[in-house]
Amino acid sequence: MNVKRMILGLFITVPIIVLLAVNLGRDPRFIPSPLPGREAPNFTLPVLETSGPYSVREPGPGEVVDLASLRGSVVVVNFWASWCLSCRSEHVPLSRLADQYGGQDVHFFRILYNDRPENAASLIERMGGQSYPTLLDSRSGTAIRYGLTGVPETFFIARDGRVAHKQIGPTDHDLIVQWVNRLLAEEWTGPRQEGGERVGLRSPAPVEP
Amino acid sequence: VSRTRIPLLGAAVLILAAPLALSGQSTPPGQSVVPDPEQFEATARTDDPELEAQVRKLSRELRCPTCQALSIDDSPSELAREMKGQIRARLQAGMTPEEVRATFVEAYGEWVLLSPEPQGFNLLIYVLPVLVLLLGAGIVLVGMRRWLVQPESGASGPGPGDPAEARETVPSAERAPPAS
Repeated sequence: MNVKRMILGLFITVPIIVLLAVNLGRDPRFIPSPLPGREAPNFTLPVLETSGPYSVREPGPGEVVDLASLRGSVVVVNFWASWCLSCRSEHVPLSRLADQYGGQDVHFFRILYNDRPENAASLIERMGGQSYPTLLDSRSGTAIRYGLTGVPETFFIARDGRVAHKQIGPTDHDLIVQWVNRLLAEEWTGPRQEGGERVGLRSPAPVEP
Repeated sequence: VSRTRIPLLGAAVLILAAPLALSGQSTPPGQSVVPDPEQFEATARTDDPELEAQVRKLSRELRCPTCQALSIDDSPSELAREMKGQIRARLQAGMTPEEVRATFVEAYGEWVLLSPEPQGFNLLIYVLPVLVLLLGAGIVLVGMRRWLVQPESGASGPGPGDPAEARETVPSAERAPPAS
């Protein structure tokens, strides 16, 4: 009888303990994305008008950025908003790295999420400008197609157009350098599009990890 | 496990499994993933009652990404509102509800479905409650049979109105040494 009770007790308690052990160690805010490994959803978005310092290499205010035209280059896409405090901590490393990688096949873009363009422009100005474009996604269509669950989120897109990594939450200098260098090292034998040909207006500077 | 506890245990299993089994009844059929090459602009509410009913139905099936366990129909968030507009735009563009649902699964994964697709590992969610219900029903049946049969075999024991006493009496009668 005791053995039966023990088996019954194990039958009930073991699944509960296993479920708790598996789920208690998991961050409930982490949502696995199906995008890494798949082709990045294309976007054609206008550039936010800002009065701060600006890179001559990327499309300027009034122009549009078409992701498909950048095939052959590594693309870093960061979703942000001026009301998001974590996004502010990313401003310096992103801006600095966008500058340092100038001349190499890397493009940095920020996409504004659920925010007023004037608020974003004002914040960029207060933070001393941005060395790469912020794009406007007025009805969050791109954010939804990228499966955005909040800001900040950063997508590292490989030369072949696939999403290599999705970073949920704030990114930093080391993580950006690690992913960009890894993706730059990948072989690309496909056709170089318009965006790739535009590279080279600034002298390339090696970036140390 | 004592015999009187068997039906109680079975009943407990049935009660615990019932909500799981009921939630599994709203199973959406498995759908293929449809690529979404177009960019859709979210559209505003229309006067078309049929379209709006479809939008509402799909909105109830999709989870709001910025909320805690709310459908995009229930959520007041900006993103949920835009997702609803996207559903409308995609339906207006001629996509079927299944195709629209698939485009959201493509971007967010199955997580976005409030009722996961009954495929692969997810099948457990739908099959397990039924198995547990059957197991519970089996335990209840076996327990009830033993419970009902017991008073007849122990004729010399107390009446059927006191099964607990019957349980205690019958085994001791069986254990009694044969008369020498």
